[in-house]
Amino acid sequence: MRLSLMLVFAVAIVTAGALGQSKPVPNSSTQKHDTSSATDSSAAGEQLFRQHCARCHRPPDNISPNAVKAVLQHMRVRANLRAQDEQALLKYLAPGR
Amino acid sequence: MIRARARLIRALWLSAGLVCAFPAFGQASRPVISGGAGFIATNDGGNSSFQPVIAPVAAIPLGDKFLVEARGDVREFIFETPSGHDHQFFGSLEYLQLDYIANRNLTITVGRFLTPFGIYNERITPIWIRNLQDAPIIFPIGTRTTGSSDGAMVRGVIAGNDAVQWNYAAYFSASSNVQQFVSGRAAGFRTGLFFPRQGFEAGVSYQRFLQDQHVNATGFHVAWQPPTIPIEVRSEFAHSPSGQGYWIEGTSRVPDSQASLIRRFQPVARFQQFFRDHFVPADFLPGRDTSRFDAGFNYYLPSNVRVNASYGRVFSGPNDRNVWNVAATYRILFPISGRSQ
Repeated sequence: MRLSLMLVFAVAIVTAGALGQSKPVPNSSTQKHDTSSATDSSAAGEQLFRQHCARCHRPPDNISPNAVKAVLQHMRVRANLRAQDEQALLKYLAPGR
Repeated sequence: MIRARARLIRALWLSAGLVCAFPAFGQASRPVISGGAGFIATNDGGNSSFQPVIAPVAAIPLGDKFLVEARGDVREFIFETPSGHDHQFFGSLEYLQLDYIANRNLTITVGRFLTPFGIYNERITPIWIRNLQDAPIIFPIGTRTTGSSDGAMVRGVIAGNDAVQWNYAAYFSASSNVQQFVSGRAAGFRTGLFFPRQGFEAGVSYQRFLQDQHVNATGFHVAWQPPTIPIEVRSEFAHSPSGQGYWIEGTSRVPDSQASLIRRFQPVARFQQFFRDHFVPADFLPGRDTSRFDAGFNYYLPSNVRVNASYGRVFSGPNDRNVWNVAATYRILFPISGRSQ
């Protein structure tokens, strides 16, 4: 019985992923911005992500703009980022903020 | 065990209460629940086990300079017995820390934090990050007793620019036998150089364990993600009176979220060895020289779900055996207060 529950749990995780709405993190090459400075900032954020964050993990498939700031503070401690790095990553991960 | 589970549940409720008590600090920086969940099936030398795991991380910004972070790990270990299956509950609080981020050069941390020794403990342990579900053999060196320390830590960048960064972390930990806060009395540091443009980093770690017999643990780590070749290589070496060993892991680069279905496949391989010097009680290391090779893959599904599987062969005299792992992991990430924008 317990084993069955565990298997259901595992299948649920995979199914949730397969059926979930994938909203990819904006990529500087596809994201349209109103100003070139915003594009530059997003590109800088993407580069920072590749150099620092991607040492350990990939970008999230989807991330709520409300969650980005706290996540970046968390990562600022882990990856020794500067305040301006945090802002550039914010532009990359949540361009609407 | 029931009492331990009740204590842990109380602690989680307390944490949730603390999180909900702080929304006023963060209209701009809202608390988040992150971390991972998963299910791991293992066959180790013919013995099967199953582990549903939830390892939530809470990050609660208190303005721009202060951050409260916590991570728990709750899992049920279900294993085979001659009469069927039995199970055991494990719950631990891996860190609960307050950070003061003065600037890039200095962050002061107090509370319970992950012991900064090498790169594996702080960076690769999350279930949704690790490429192979089994930790390296030498993982206990420099991280005992639990991988966590209770005390204070300073960390940051000593000097650096866009081309190179000289970073450090130094800490002191008190001894604690309090359940969920178990730690050893120890002091240590890690320092390293990171070259962002080359994707290369290397560093050394040292720990002086200050309770019972005072012993030293030393380590060296290196990681490389060449910008022009889509591979990653990581390695650690560690030495203690118990013995010494190393691991080296290679993989293709972590695919980004827009990768094609084929490029979401990530092969992984790791080789490691441990050489026993002296018998030290409760060091969580193999009792004899041991080598192990693992090979497997990760496959990244949409919406932060990953499936991974691996085969490992352990060479340890009469304990030679095969180890199979199959896992599904999910990366949790959502805000826990505030209105949508």
